[in-house]
Amino acid sequence: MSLRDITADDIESLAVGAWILGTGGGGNPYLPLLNMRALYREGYRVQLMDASDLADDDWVGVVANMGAPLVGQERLTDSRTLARAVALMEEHTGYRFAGLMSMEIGGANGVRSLMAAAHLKRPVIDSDTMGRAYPEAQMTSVAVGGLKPYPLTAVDVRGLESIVDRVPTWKWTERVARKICVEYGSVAATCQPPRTGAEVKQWGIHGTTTKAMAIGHAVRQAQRRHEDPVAAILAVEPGKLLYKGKVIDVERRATEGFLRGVVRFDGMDDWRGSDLTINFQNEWIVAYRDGEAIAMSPDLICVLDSVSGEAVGSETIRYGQRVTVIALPPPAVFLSPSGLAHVGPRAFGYDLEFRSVFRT
Amino acid sequence: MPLRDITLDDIESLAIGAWVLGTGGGGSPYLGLLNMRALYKEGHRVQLMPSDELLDNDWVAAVSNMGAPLVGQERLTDSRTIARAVALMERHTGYKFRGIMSLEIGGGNSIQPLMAAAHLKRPVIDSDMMGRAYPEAQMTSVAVGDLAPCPLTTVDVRGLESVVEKVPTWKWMERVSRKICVEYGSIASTCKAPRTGAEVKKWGIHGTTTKAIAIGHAVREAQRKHEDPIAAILGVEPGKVLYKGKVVDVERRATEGFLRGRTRFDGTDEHKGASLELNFQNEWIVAWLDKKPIAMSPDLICVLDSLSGEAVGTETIRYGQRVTVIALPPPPVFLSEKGLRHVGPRAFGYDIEFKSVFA
Repeated sequence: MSLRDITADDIESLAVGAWILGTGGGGNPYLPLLNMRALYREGYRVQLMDASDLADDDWVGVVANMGAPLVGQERLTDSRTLARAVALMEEHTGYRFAGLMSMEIGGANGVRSLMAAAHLKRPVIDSDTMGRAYPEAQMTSVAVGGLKPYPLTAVDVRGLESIVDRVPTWKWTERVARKICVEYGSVAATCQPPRTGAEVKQWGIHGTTTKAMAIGHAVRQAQRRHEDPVAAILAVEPGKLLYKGKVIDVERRATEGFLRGVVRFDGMDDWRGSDLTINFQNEWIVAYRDGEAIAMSPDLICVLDSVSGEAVGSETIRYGQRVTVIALPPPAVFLSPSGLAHVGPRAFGYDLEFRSVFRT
Repeated sequence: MPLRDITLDDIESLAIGAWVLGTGGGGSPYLGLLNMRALYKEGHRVQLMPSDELLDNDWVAAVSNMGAPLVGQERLTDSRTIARAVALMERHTGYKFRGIMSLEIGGGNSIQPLMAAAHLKRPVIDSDMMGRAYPEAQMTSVAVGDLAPCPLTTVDVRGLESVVEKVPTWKWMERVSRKICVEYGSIASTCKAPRTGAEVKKWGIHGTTTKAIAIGHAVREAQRKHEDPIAAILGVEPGKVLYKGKVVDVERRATEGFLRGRTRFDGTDEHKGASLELNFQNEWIVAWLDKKPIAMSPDLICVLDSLSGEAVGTETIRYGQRVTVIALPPPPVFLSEKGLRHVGPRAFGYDIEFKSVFA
């Protein structure tokens, strides 16, 4: 049996690491972390399971909160809502899920699968479908794989429950589910289209919960020892330091259910005299240094607080912050022509050829 | 044998009568009628069943198209879409429907259950939940009766299918399903919350398909005989003539998914010198004669072409039309205190006490 217990300390690390993998989006994992602390105090425990231990005909529930991260600051996360989305999916399909996995490891959704797992007493699968955070339903490994885009369940704290039962494309899943979510008040707990064990093994992005914990652990260790937390991240992940600087301007606008905008930085240390601009749509999408595109999706662009090493989100970044920008390598599935069609710079409206920071 | 065959001639009459009962809204039944003509040509047949033949534990599907009537003029009615909404509800709930009924007998939705019934080979129940047309989901007899508002299925021609599985109130059902409908392109075929035979018998508004057929039949007979079609309607229904006049002004705006506005008339014949104003939200809601309210929901206010006797809709009424305005009595379920809260003048934002034309 290859299940391993997730400790309360692991979850503290997961919250820090998932926020870094959120590449500016996905929402701060702090409220899910508070939920998990409370659940662990009440005696709940969650276990982690490798995708390779799934039987091909097992069913896996894929979970995420959908909506505007800002709304989550007023309508606080309730761990039971997500569990209800999963239970509704089981009622609707008649499947019993062998495990639950995160739709996206990046941000708050990287922790939320644990909340549902605690209530439903299922393991969490150590895989996700983004390896980071992305704003739309068709920006996943399972969408790149052309897997079935339905059904999807959406529930909220009031007891509203809806099912998107059939759609012709992932983009339609996004459209219909997004409207339901907006009517609920721009936040809904969702159970995404169920996946078989075989599908998870073929199309999942593996080991990402473990990866997020390792990143968070490295940061917390470095904080405790007063060492450089950014160096600690680069010691556990094959990332690249892109820039150090200070935020000098933030343009942010909420449009079409997304947070879009531009952040500008003045260089410090080795980058003095060099300026950086990052464009975002919930997540950091393209970084321009002195007018030249130097990093772009699907490479992970992570903006970190230079002192604490913790992530800075696109909804909270502000004038004067001292940050370090690093890149982390993207999941291989997004580097194919089909993968780039889903999440490359053109998918976000930038007429750029994808060029990786990690090209050799 | 309690089932009776619906003839193609009945459906021609139904289309005319349902449009009269639509009180300006519900959309013209014309495209539904064209579908039924095609289905009957292909050999499909539909039967009508009185609700008292239902067993208490039978399940009944309630169907309607939801959305903006104007969109229906570009995205034409396809009879298979409404059948799929019913099939999805059966798959989702595991029920097998004994029959199919209309959410609203007024307007195009009167024909929707016939289209589903033709494909699925079930009878149409001779009852509905409005006895007319109304713009919102909570404006039904079953909402007045506080029956369960969910689940609801919604499908479209592209193959989109969604289920609103749980909501706390009818108003929430309206909100969530309306947004899905708008994303589909402002038109969706829906199967409403399934009803038991017992619920239909207690809360349904009965005999309304037969009533619409009778009204339409009277109008068509009068047209054929060159008699007064409006007198013919009042010969089969205990209605009242309110006004004869000419349209002098129409203000119409599409807001929040509804067609709102007002129409002004100058009197003709015995109403010469008197002016009438009708306020509408999809349906005609309040009629003001020389600024005094003389008729209001839930009384049915029907605007009819004075010559043909056929209904004039809020989306098509225009300057210069000669019309006769009549009132028909409302279903009793809407006359209770609770009924009036759902569909009385205040439910539409008019601060007036309901007073029936028939009081």
